Amino acid sequence: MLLYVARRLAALVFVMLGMSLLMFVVAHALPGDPARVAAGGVEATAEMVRIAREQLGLDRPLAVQYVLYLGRTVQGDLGRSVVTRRRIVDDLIEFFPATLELTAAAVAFAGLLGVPLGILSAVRRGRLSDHMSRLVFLFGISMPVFWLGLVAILVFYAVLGLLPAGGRIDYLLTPPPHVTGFYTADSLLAGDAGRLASALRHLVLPALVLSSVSLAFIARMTRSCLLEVLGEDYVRTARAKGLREALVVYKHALRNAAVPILITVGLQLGTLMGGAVLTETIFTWPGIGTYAVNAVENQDYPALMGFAVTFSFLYALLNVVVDVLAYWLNPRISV
Amino acid sequence: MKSPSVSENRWRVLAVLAIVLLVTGLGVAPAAHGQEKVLNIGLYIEPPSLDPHNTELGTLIRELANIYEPLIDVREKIGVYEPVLATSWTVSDDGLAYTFKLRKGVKFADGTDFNAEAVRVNYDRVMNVKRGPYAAVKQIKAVEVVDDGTVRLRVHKPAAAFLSTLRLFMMVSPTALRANAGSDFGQSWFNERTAGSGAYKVDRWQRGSVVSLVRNPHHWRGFRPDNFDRINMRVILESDSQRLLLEQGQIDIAQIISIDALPALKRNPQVQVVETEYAGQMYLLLNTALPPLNDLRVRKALAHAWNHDKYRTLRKGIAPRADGPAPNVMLGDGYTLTNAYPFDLDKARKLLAEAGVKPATTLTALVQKGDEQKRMLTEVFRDELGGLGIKVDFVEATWPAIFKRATDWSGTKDPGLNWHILAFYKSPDLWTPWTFLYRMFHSETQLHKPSGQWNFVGYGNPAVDRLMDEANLTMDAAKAAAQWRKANELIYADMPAIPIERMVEIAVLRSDIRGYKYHAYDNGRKLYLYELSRAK
Repeated sequence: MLLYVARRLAALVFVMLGMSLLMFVVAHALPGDPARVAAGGVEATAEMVRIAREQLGLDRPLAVQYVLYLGRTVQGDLGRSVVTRRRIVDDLIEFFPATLELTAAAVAFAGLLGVPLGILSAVRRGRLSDHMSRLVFLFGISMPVFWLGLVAILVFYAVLGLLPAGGRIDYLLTPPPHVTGFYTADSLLAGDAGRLASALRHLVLPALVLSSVSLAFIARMTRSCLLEVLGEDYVRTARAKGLREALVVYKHALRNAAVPILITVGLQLGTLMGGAVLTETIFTWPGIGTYAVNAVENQDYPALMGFAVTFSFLYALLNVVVDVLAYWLNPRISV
Repeated sequence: MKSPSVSENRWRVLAVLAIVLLVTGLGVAPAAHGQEKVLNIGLYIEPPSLDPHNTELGTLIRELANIYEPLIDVREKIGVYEPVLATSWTVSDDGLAYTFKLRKGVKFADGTDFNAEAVRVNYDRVMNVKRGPYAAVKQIKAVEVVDDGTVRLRVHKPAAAFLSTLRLFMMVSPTALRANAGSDFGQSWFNERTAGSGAYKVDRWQRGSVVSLVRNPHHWRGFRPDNFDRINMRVILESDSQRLLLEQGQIDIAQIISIDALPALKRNPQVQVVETEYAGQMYLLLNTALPPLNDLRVRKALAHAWNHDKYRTLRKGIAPRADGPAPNVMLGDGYTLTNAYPFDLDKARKLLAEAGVKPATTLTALVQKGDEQKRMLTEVFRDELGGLGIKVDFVEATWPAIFKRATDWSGTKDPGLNWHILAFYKSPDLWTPWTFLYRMFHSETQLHKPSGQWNFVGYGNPAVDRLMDEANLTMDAAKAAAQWRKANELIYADMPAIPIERMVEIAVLRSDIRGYKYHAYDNGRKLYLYELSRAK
């Protein structure tokens, strides 16, 4: 097990090197001029742009820029954003937790709803509940998230007045004292019921909307894995021995189908982090998706690369964690 | 131990759901809408920085002008200025020295007195940071402290427009600057905190969420009872969300509203829609350096092909025709420029034939992604040109990509980067004809040149250059105005850009918001927060 983990972590280094080089090339291939952005945008004179270019080191050869960037990155310095003018590390510390909180909630919703739905669909295969469930899966995969988000705001905020339209917390409240960056967790740690409730209310709608696609994937994976296992001989034997159906499904079949389901749930976290940008825009959720889009639109190369490098690292690490978890759950998996 | 049955599990799940609903239902109720002394604004764009010496000029004029103040500001009449931190001023005969008497009793938000030394400290800072208002402040050669209440600015060369640029030179507290200078002249500190003399100061800024302002207790004008105590500028980048929040009363001012939503909003008694023309102008730029547009007859033909009535209809009637190369209001009282190019396809056809433009000629139009107005007007133009047998290919790109392409073409004339037509918006960032005529049409401001600004079209006319150079240097306001007018008319005759539309600022507010005002010299979405109040 330890050897497996060590091998995966070592491979991670090469993944990150390749990723940083790819992102460097892509960022510099984007049209536009980050020196102009740093100098003040369209209003900046040619002289101000030239000065900004020198200050940012953008007048040096690309290879030199990359090597210098790599050297700073391994020391934890991702540079300074030309838009926010702050250290990118500080930006990421501020924006990443928002996305993590949103995607964690979305994955939780997707898992809590998707797995039972998948079980229901598998156990009642061919019946009305199976067809209805599969309709829900189709809806979840097909409906564009931005449309779903706007409809959700219209219904739950404008018409029913049940939930807020956006933001992470009521805008008249200051955020809870920063510990994790998760407003829900930080409110809990601070023992602040009011802020906790406000944070939860603001989290419900965007998390549900974001979970729609993952819910469908998880439910479908659960259905197909369970169906496969339910066809096994030992399940037939268990039924023949007179065990209750619930016991057969939950104790025997589901446990053996759990690994691929778990992997799917885990990987959805990474997928959703990357796909949260639309939901964040609709719900004014100040997360990393919004930050990345802003960086692209403003040719904020340092921020774009900082985001990409950090996100790639987290995604790769998540894959390692999921693989290790799968191996731990089922040591028969060959590594 | 017996495992729970399915029905027991079901009750457990329901119990958990009930707890969750109860907790979320107990959440703090949505903030009392229309809290009297709190103003909520749906922002157009989040400011990149709160530093008045290191931010975009748009942010400076829009948001930061409520937090920081300059010595003087502009008024509607060109050449007349509003005293702000300076109460009076004199100009030396040679135009090289400006002496300002400073307003007494002004303090920054941290309690520091404003005086001549503060002006000098701010000048040094801008010259070191070299961002934001640097181009304007660079005109100043030296700042002399005559006494506490008097400061003299010496400039490198005389310029009638110098005073109009001072609105961009805003003052920060020297105490805050000295305490937080660090190694970057305080940029890290001022990026996220404020220390100005304006009516409001920043209380907190949650990036991506809200910039919250409170009253500056030291503000020299004092406060009326109906001034807002707190102003929340909320980052809501989706127009439909802003509209919903406005209609629900959760925000009082929406800065991003789709033009299609206006008819319904105008019918809503709880919403007021205020339309104010200002001096921003939209153009269709014509690349004068590239055939066939290097032929004046072709450019005139294209000008005759612009169908403004059709465009106005598509814009729901909100599209007054632009005046000329520069807005008339900048060129003196009573000045007008008659439209010499009415919509006339027959005339256009005749001119094209004279110029030898063959049927099925193809032109390339650069279209800015995400800007529905520019796309719309380019499409209208394409339709009319189609009637003349001219095909227009669209190349869609972001503004930075367009700027880069046009700059590269200007320098290299690479055929792969050819472009003929570009919809362009020019704001009245500086209240002087210079910002339109010089920046867009002087030969030295062609994009690829070291002094390049916004001469996208490669236009250059020695007579026009001479007039503008003289107008820049003269201290005689009447003479300068005459020279700018002449330059305006010569440029119009050369038609390097079709003046399309004078911009209309559309403010969408709750009906109970009072005091909203907008001027011809204001840039898009400017708000005077000190003037606003809520009706009881």
